[in-house]
Amino acid sequence: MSTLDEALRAIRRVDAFAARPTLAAQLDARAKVIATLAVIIAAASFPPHALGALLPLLLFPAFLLAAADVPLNWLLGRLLFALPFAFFVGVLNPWLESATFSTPWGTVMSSGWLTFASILLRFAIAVSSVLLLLAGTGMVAVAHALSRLGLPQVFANQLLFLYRYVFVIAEELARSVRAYRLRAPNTGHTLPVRAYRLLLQGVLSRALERALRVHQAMLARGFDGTLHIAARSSWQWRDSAFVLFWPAYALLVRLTDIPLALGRLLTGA
Amino acid sequence: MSHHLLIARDLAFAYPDQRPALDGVSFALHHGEAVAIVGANGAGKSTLLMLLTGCLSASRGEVLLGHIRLDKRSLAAFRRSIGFVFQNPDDQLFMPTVFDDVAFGPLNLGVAPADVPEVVSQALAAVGAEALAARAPWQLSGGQKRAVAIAGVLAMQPDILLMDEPSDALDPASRRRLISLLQGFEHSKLIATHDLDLVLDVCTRVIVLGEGRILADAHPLEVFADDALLARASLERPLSMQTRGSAPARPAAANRAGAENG
Repeated sequence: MSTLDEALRAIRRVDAFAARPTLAAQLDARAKVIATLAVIIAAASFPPHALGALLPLLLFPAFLLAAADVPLNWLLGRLLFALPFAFFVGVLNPWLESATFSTPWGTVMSSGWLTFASILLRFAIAVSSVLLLLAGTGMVAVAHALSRLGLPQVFANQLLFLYRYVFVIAEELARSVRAYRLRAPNTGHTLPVRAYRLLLQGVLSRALERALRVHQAMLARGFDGTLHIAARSSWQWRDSAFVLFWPAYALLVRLTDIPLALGRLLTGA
Repeated sequence: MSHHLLIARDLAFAYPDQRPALDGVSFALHHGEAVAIVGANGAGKSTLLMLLTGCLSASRGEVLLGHIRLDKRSLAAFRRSIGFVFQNPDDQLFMPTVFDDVAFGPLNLGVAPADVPEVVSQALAAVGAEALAARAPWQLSGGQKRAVAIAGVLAMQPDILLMDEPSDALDPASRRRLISLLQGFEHSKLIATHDLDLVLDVCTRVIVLGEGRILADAHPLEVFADDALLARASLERPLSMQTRGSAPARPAAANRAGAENG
């Protein structure tokens, strides 16, 4: 199986996770979207050097991980894949920041290291929350929930079409690469640049044709620009509890340094 | 005049390179009729179905549903009445689960959300795919995808069913189930296919396309007995007629001429 096929399967696993009757899947998508946004906003609003105070926010992705019954290694794999983005955003901070701090072991370090670690932690909280939101809900349901929460339909549709057409293009590319390899058995793991150039020309035109057929098939089934999806359940008390608890928890974590408070409570300092 | 009557009148269509795909195609589909469109690759079968559903616009001629002419204003009404199963189910399956995909059409047509699960369940049961409801379409085999694509259209409860190569990539059991399903679908059917044995089992009339024109419009047995016509259309007799050497058993059918007023 080619790397492209594997990447496609990995993306599609998100929908496979979401289709299972897990606790996360039973919650209303709007409740999960609101809670996820609250946690991400809370994480983003901490001061640059906050580190320990951010840790309690990890409880939210941990809860979603259990509720969506998603393997931890799947989540870690996706996080590692996206990690370079956060790494390059924060990696220069240790050298750019002139302020210093003393570690518990007596050494003095640049405050930039704290900022860097804080960026990585916020990134982990935000990305894992979004990934688990998708794994416990599904992309289409998330787009629909965003629309019902007030996001203009055109943006929700953009999300939806982007998601659908990524597969269209990737499938066409995977098919072309497979056909190329079968007739060029001596090609190594990576195709020559010239081959990619030739493949892309054909792939893009075929992907466009196929995208048109997909759109025609949607229109033939009455699609008029408004996305309707079948609700599996109506809003229930557990959705209300979820949407009340997690934003309140995020606010509490933002306003109170819980690890510090717990430390003081336990040590009596 | 039945409101289910679908009329193609002098349809013409050319590809962007000006190569003609259809030229002067006229016929009428009557209520309850099962009509096959056959012809060689590139004969214009798929293009004709696309024109009848408004997916493509004809360069000449018109399409009528009863007395309603197909245009931008009437397109929604056409799509409510005409269910179109695409040639490649991967083009049609859109949603993340089979349930959501089959529910897509009914929800777009305004079926009450509370009624949708029942509609979906009935459509999936009709194609023997009830067990697939929670599966993701990409996890399905070719035959299962085809069945779900058909269920997605049946769930819209169309008056007229248009199918493009419905038995393509089906195993024998799935094909037999499809034939039973089509025989049980009491409304009008227009089926573009290379599967001439399916035509014998399901259809009461055949339209033969060749080089964008109608070469014949007659009863299947009449068409398949005409060797010169078959050769002209790059077709062969159905396998069942070849092996038996005689006419196979088939549903009783009245021979309807293809004329619009027939």
